[in-house]
Amino acid sequence: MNTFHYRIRRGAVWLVLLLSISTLVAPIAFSQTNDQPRSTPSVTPDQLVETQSRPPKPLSPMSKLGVAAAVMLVSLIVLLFSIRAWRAGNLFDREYRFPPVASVAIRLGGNRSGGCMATIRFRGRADTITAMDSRREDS
Amino acid sequence: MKCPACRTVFSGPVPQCPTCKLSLLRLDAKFGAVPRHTRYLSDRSGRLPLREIKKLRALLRIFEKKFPQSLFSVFVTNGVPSGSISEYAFWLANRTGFSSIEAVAGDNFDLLLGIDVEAGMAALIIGYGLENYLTEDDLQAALAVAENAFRAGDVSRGIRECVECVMNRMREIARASEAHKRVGDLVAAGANNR
Repeated sequence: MNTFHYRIRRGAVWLVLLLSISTLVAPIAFSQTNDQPRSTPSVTPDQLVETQSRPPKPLSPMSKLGVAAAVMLVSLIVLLFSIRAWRAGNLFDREYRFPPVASVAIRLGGNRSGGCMATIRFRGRADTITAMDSRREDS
Repeated sequence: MKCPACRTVFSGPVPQCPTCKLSLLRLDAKFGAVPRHTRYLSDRSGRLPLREIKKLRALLRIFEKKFPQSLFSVFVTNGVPSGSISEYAFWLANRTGFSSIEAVAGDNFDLLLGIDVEAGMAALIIGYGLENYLTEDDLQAALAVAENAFRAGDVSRGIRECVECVMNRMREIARASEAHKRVGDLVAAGANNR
């Protein structure tokens, strides 16, 4: 499996995860929350009073909005990451072409490359030439 | 343009470096037989894990899919015998058959990243075809992006960062070139209509 397939599969996993989260969160966010706890015949009056004295707090409209916004934000982030991965994996087979160069000056006897290059020294002596030094030297 | 050996700046079609007399023929004598290499990535140092090699090959394959004219090759070695990685990269770019035999002169859009792990040096070289689009500054910027990873000893991450940087830059240039061509076509069409 190459990076391309791996990224597509990762995107799909993320989407499935997002859908699972939204299916779990959405019913909670939008359900009716004024359900009364059911009492059973065996419950004593004292216990019933105790249970009824602490009714579950219903979600405020702001909380619902917050949950919805969070879900949307997460899905947006997942979508952005997926698009990035798909683009990097060239999912849409986008090709870029350069017009060929008509005539070139052959240098140093090389018929494929004339030595247009950049070099760096990333380890070694004290008089290290790093990419930054090389740029400075050029300018 | 600079000489790969002595870094003397020169311009024009010189058969050999005016200072150190470097030429491809001299490098043939210096380096001898072309080393064993594979498409996309050759690790002669044996330092890259197999898993990383597979991942990098996949990335380089994507590069080729995006830029069908170009082949980005990477050659990792454990020291260059009697020479520097810049000379070696210049020699490899001209002597190894990384891409097709027809890819010569202006039709050569290939890139080669040579890394000498032992000496701690890297060189990024391009074919004649890309010289109109990528500058030495672009190449230097791509190496600068990878420098920290190389310095930390993470060669595979450095290669990945370098390839991705070149990929982004080439995409920008190709898009700009396409837009420029479109404008040119529109102007030509307008002139024809008149």
